[in-house]
Amino acid sequence: MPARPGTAAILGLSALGLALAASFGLSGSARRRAPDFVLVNEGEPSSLDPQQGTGVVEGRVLRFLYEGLVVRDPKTLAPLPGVAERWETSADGLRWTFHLRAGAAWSDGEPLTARDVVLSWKRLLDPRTAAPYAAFLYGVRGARAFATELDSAGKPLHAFDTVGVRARDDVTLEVEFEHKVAHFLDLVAHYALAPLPEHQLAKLQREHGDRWELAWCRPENLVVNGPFVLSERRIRDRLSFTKNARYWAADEVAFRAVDVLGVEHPNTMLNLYLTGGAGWTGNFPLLLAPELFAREDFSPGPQLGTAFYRFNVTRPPLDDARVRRALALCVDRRALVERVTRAGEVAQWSFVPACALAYEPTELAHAASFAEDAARARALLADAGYGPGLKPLPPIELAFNVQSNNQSVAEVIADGWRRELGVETHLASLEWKIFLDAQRALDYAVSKSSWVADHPDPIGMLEIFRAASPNNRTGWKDAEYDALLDQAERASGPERAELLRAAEARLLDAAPIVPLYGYVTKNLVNPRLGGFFENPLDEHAPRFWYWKSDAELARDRERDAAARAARGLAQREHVAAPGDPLGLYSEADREPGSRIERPDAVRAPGER
Amino acid sequence: MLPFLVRRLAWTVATIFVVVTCAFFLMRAVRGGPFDSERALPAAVEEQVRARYHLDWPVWKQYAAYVGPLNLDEHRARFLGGDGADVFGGVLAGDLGPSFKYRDLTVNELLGQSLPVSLALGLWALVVALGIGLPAGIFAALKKDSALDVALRLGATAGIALPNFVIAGFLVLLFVFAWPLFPVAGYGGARALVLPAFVLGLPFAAYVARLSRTAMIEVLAQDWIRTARAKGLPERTVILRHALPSALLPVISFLGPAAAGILTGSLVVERLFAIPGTGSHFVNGALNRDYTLAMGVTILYTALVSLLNLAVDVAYGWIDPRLAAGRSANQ
Amino acid sequence: MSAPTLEAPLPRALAPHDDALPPPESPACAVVRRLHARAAARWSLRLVVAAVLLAFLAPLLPLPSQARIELARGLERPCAAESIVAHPSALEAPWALGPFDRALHAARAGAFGTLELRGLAGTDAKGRDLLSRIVWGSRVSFLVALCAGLTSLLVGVAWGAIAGYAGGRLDNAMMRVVDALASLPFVFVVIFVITLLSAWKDELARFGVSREVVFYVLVGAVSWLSMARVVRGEVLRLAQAEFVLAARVAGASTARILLTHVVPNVLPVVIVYLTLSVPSILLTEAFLSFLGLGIEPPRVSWGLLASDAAEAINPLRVPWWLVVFPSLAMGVVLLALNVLGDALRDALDPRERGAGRA
Repeated sequence: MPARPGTAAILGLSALGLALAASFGLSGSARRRAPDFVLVNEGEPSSLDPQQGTGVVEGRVLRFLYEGLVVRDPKTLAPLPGVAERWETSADGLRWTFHLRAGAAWSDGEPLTARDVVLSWKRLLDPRTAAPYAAFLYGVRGARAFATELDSAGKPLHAFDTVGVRARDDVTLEVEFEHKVAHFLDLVAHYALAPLPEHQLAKLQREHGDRWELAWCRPENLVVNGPFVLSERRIRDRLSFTKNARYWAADEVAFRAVDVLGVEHPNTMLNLYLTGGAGWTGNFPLLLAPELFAREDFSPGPQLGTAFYRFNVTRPPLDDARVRRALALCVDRRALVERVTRAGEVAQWSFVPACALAYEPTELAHAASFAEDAARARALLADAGYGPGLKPLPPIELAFNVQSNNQSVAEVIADGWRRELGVETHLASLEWKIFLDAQRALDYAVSKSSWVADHPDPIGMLEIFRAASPNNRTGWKDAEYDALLDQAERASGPERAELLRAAEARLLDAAPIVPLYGYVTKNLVNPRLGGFFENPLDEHAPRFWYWKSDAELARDRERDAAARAARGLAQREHVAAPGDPLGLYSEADREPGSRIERPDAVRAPGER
Repeated sequence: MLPFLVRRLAWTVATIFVVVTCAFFLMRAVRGGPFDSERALPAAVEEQVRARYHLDWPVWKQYAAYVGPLNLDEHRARFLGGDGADVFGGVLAGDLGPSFKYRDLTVNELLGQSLPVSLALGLWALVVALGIGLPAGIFAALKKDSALDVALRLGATAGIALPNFVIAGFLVLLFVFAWPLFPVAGYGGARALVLPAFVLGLPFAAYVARLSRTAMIEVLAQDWIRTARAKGLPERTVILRHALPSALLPVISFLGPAAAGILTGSLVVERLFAIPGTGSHFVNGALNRDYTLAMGVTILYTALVSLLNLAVDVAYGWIDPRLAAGRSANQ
Repeated sequence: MSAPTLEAPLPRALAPHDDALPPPESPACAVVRRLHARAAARWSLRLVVAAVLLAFLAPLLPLPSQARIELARGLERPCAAESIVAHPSALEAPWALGPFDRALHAARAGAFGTLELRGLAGTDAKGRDLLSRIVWGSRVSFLVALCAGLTSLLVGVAWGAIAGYAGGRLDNAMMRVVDALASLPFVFVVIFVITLLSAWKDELARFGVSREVVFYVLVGAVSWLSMARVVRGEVLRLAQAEFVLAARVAGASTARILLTHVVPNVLPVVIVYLTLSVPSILLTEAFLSFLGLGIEPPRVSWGLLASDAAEAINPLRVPWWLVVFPSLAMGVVLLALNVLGDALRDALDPRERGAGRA
């Protein structure tokens, strides 16, 4: 074998070359300025287009950028003035008038007018936008027809002026309805209905033609009306926001720059939070939930979302409502939340969680103890002709996607069904998209599901079991149920709540679903963060955030301790609260000499 | 040499073409689509979304639109639309199309941002793999069955046997919490890359160590090494000039494809350390049925594997000219 | 490998400098070295055999069912005291077992009754016995490793040897096939196979093809690719070696040269590479199971236990047993496997054997 000269030297050189090349990737990561606040988001938003984004990850980010006609109170979720300064309805509730702020502007300085709202709603309804939340506007006169009646090329058959949305002048928006929509303000607060900058979209369309939507969400093209603007987007790494100086309430916004990290692993989220790398994380390893209750920075609250199982009511033996009711009854929900999920989830016998505003859900009739429920379930099964001495119930397949604690929950429920009812359950863990496809095609017997509300009104949840809803996916159709919801849509007040309760009772009686438990928020938040409240939508608007000073933090801790003592709860340990000991308050909050006596009313209207 | 390179490059292009074609039809054949979600879109909306990405077309036509700059779009009217440009520019024109999951981004943007990150991390991991693996393997071979050898083998086995996510967990506890030397996660700055590069490179270092040890032992037993020693050449020269190149062959053939894996990143390391590299796209592209993104990373990976294997073969010939000679003699 | 392979004395016999001295080494040193190597190998072999036996006989062992959930006993520390208890449901089968496993399970009932050893390695978050999960998990993991190992040994070595020896166009074509197969998006391939499987579930079940079987085949199907590359690289070198050229000149057939001269000489690297790749195969399995594409609950594998372990490592509270015991089991078995691989390599290396006898 001949010797090759200088192998070692060449090896050394190439190693050096590798190192040099590697260092290239490191330039360009220098930050312009340190953000005042960093939070952890669970991944990259699928879109920064407010009319395309659905989901938690997108919502967190879009609330930085866009503001609707109204905004939600961060604590009570009641509507507060946003783009609209005030609004009024006609006596019959069929005509709403929104008065926009005079002098409101987009982040590029162009005036924001009622025409921008009209354009936004037109785009939302236009079928070619394919917006998931288009149905929010279907109560508006002509909107449903505009959105769903199309010509062969997929264009709407009707002109947009058939839709009851009109800009009377720059600051007045008129909306006419086909029927009364009692919860319209809840819908209008959603980011999908926020105005869009007509001038900017037109400009992008001129520059990029039909590909304008792919260019729109780059930081340099994104013109917004929310409290922050996007200054940098590093995909799957970091979204950097800086305060929008042209936001109408800019002097109430405390943070000048906020970074949102796209982190996918729960352990990493927790680690980032614990090292002070982030001040808020909405997720952590589920294993740790019981450990966190002793900490002051973990205060889970009920969330408007339900974990439930769907039954395929077209597949025997689940086509028999008695069998379904028996299975639905025979679930030890208390054991489930106390021993499996363990993050404070609420055992639930209704589909709508108890935290829904102005609505008390109907529950599946159940006894005080699981043993009694199991006995009743056996009786129901016997009634349907299954059980000891009768024919045995054939094995049931329970499908779930592997992520999260779905498997634990399924194992425990299957265990209960086997022990109490003698029903064998085959657990099928499926890949997510295969799971969804099977659910949609009704290619399952029992299927794990969840639903989290988009707005505080219970109708948003009950609607998914309408016969025509794409989210029904149980094969269950009930004309009476649909009719009750139709009536409820047009009603208001206690009468509406009663109609919804009747609909829910019908749903639970037919039992195409098994409600299991209500979700809770899972936020770990730096105790120094002010203006952040647990609420049933788990929606948190960055506009209200600020850093508490040491004095305010101490005051809040005292209040919390007193409140817990009064309720006989154990005191929680204080954790590090990194941040400026003097706090970081908005200009509106700063008062000479005192940083504690901040005007609560301005900062957090929920506390009023 | 040049004809050889040209021929191999042609093979590379052919390989990419075959892979792209197979992968394209494979992806469209699997169950579940990019727009299935727990929150189903209304039927009319879903139809529109599918139309926008041409999923309503026959698969061959989708393939044509994806590969070629053909603009088969029948000038479908869009909101604010006008010029009838297809969202698919065609792979041949260098446009990998829009992402199906990240609706406001193109695959070119996604890869353009993540590839430099992965390359930086991957190159550092390669430095770790070779910097630790090669010396360890060589010393272990020279001191075969000594305490050093046993210790190195134990270390190497542990490096491979323990899953890298377990190692990563320990390293984070150790160097972030117990002894705060490095940031816990995130991308930016050399310090942030130390732990991930180490975790990514360690298993490969173990491979390199074991492979180079084995090969080195074998080479050292060869007759021409004995001859070289008998000629009275200094041991250093014998090892570095004579034995090492030969012993590198199995390492190189391992490293070719392995480097492609390292350079395109790893899902586990990227998730654990919140590194925005391409590794996650391989898995998430498939799980989200993000067809274009998955195709994009597939093309990238195929090109990289082919080129690195070409480099391996060139390296073979360079280290041992007889191999190159044999290659041309056989043809 | 077959006996002729082991006995092939040709390479050494054909080596031109047969009389050259081996590197100087004192006799005592050589004895210590060989003894050490043998002892390590002996112990490793015992360990691997014991682990395989344990896995094979899992239904016979008086352990709690690895699938039995006892929520009230979640995350209990390992505890040797009161570990032998009678449990009413001790004899429940973990899931539908095959006939052989049922027989073992019945034998257990005869031997131990309802007695069971529990809590020795602690419990996981759902109160399942960790020791039992490690033992039952080893079944899946060993089977996966075996499937993948055999495929790489048979397909990978053959493919690589033929490509490397033939050289030229055939080599090029064969290696490009490997490149193409390695480049296909693996997750998509798996999902595709599962799609097919769910479409013809009933037809396939009639032939005894379940998702599990297909899964083992799939893991095997990807594992031979890198082996083929490594072997091809080695063979490329060996094909130019003097003894191969000599055999060719002597008129030996290609098959004979490959089988008796080339393959035995690549075996050292093959074996080391094989033992090296076992962990990554186990992780591939865990990864697929984690995505819902692998084994189905309530089955468990070492890879899945390792991902549980990874979740347990956090700065707030570490249930250390979840990390230590699975890692220990994995580490020890894989280490033994590697030592065994090295010893086997030495035994197979014609030169080493010669040196040992000298």
